[in-house]
Amino acid sequence: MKILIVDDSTFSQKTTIKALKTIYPDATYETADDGIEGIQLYGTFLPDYVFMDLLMPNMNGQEAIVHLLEKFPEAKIIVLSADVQAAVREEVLAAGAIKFINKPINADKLGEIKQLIEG
Amino acid sequence: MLTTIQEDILKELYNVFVGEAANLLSEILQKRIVLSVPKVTLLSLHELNPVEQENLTPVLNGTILSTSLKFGSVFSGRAEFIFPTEQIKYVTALCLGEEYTLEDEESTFNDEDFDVVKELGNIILNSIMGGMGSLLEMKLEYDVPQIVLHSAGEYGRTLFNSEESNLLLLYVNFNIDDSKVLGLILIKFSLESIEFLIQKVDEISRDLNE
Repeated sequence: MKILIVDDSTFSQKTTIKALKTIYPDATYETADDGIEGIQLYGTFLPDYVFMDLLMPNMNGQEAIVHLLEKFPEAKIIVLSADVQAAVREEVLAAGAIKFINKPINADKLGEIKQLIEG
Repeated sequence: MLTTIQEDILKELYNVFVGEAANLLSEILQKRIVLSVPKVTLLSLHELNPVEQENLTPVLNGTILSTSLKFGSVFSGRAEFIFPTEQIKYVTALCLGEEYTLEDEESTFNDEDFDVVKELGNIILNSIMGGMGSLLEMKLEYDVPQIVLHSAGEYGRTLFNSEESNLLLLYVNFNIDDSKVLGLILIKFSLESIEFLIQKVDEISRDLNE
């Protein structure tokens, strides 16, 4: 499995990969620092799943979801954000993200991710 | 000036929002977080004398790192996660699961340290402001978080020379494991937003008395 993490924080990229590796140790991980880089990398890396932050410079996560799905309608995007607002959650799900998870990732949230991916 | 009831309600609401944020922080650091009793102060900054300014929030007088999250536009202001620089290496080590040594304390900060504090601040401030937006029944728009290193006293000078003369400050001190002082969370609101928030608080007060 290939997983792309789009987040402007290196710390957040590392903690997300570290957490995901506990359930998917053999997956291949790539990182991008903003929406623009994320979309570019998607085209070459072709990940199975994208973990997308929302508040990022250059192109934020909400814009990136729209552009990414325009270009790659098959993209499976999981939003991983500190924003706890219900309205934001609804907006990104309406935009086409398949799941919204609040940072930080913990064991319960990893369980949700596993269930989502494995059905 | 805030009435006693308004101050009490604001303090309690802030306490709940900060409590949620402290839970997140505890989860990230894997440490117990102890919060002080929150303080709520409506300030006319330009009317404070130097002693009052200095006593307002002593931690602001040292060298600090602040992560700020600007929110607006109908309800606007800036939430800040303020952090004495001497704690940065300790917290970075905790976050990265690394051992903290005295050598770390003496070393200079790097991009990784700033990145960790910025992301911590982002999570904490989003949690608090999300609670605030929910209370006000409105969606808050945020700018990308900013991180700034302030030399000793610089933050206080900026605060007290701010163009916004009236500020509602909500702040709380917190520490890790009852020992390492971590810093404070401070939220500044524009005058219009203060009025908006107080209206909401008055509604809550009226509901309580019905």
